[in-house]
Amino acid sequence: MPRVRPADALIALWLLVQVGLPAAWYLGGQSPDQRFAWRMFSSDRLTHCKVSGALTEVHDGVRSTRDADLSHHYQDGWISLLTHRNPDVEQAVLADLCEEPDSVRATLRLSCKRPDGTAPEPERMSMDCGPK
Amino acid sequence: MKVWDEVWHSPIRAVRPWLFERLLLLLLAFDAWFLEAPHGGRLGAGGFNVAHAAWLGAMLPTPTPALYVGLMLGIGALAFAGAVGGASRTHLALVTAGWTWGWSMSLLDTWQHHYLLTLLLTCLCLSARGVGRDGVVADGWAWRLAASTVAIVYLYAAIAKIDGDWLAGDDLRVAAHAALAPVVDILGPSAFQVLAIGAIVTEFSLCIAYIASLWIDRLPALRWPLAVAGTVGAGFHIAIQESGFKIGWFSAYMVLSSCVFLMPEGALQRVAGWLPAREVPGPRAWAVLGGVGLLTVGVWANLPGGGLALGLAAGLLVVFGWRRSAVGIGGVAAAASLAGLLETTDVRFDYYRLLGGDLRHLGDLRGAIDAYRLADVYAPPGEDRTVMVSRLEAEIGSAGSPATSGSVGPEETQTDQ
Repeated sequence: MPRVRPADALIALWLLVQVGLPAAWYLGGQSPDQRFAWRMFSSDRLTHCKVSGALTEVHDGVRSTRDADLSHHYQDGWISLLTHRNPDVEQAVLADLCEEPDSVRATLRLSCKRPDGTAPEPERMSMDCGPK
Repeated sequence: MKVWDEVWHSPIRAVRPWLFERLLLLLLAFDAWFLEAPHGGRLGAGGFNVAHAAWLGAMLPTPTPALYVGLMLGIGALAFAGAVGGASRTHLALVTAGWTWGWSMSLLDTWQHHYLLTLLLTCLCLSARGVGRDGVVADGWAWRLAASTVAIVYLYAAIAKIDGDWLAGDDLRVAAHAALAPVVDILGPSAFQVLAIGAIVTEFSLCIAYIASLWIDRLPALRWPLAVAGTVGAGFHIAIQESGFKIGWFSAYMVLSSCVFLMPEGALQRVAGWLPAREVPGPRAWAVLGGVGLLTVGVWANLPGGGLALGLAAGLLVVFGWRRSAVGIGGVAAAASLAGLLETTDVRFDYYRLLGGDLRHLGDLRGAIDAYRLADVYAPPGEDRTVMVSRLEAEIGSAGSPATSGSVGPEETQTDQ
């Protein structure tokens, strides 16, 4: 059996990762996170979305929900990533909103318009804030 | 194993990696200085950040403007000196690591070509060193790995477009309606569909061309077909750039790739002939002069992190240039080029005005005023922020307390990546 040189092992591993990473995106449910899938100019990037936030709080046993002013809390780049449904940023923003005192639930609401003009149902992402 | 060895381990003309490394580092230096550094103010704004990987965010320091801007200035200096004087493997590895840290520290940078540059720089780090430009790299596997990487990018870029909206031309109509109006005038309403399908065909063809380039210096019959593919590739990316897509310097990097991976050796030798071929003996004073120059520019630049980062880059270049005067000369050239760039372009104005916009947006009105006042120091005629500063001061005065809102009208913020 021929000996495998380190360079050959590296070539094989490199190609496997380079082919596998984008393939994993296609085979793994096509997450909105398209970073390593080489999807330049795809329809998803041309879909325009607006995002808003809401925070449910409990004061003196009374539960109420108010708008969370995302644009005054997060640099515009993060808002843009939210509108592109980046899952890591969604989770980080929801966790960050949950840091507010008295918060019990944080919600993001996404309304989108596709390049062909149609608008899918708005999406909601929520996080239970847990005990403070 | 014979076929495998022929594909991966046969010789490659040294001018390809030699020229690609020099020009890639030159582009990267200006990309870091001119395009990336001005956006550094958004890093860590509002105390919020998400890194490209959770372990990166946990391991590395939280990004700040000083960290990011300093990193971009320092990496740019190292890259520029490497482009002029040639980079050792350690030198190139530092550029690669610094560049990769730069984009991966925050999801605010999601340019896909920044990741591609990391891959290509890594391949160059793995290439044989010290061959010069006129000889042959006896085992060209690392160069072929870079070619394969670009082929895979084109393959998936084409696959991504096999989609109803793209094939119908709708995506292109939305993305580049104005820029493609003259083409629509000639081809009629089907122009968007024709161009959209043409893009897919071109990307698949370029994928095949880059795979064929694994044999470029061994099979003379490939010379002219690949030269045609290189010309098509360069034209394709120039056309994309002209269509108004906001994609940074992706087109420039891909035009460079098209030329160096696919063009005949003779054409590359002619271009390489304009650059110094080999090490010219010279005094160590060049290394010291380059170091002092970079440190001076770092202090003078008045950008956060500039003094420290360029001081570090200066120290490294003194070490790298101590035995290789060309690197020392590269350090001098880097200092002069960065000074010239800062003096003749809006890099510092853009940095401070964008920082001011972000701070105002986030409600830090006093911070925004300070940033706008610094922007005014470097403002082109008629673009000073005096009116904005007055409005912000009035808002703070009327509120009676510092920095609580951002209702004084529109101003630029940074969402372009």
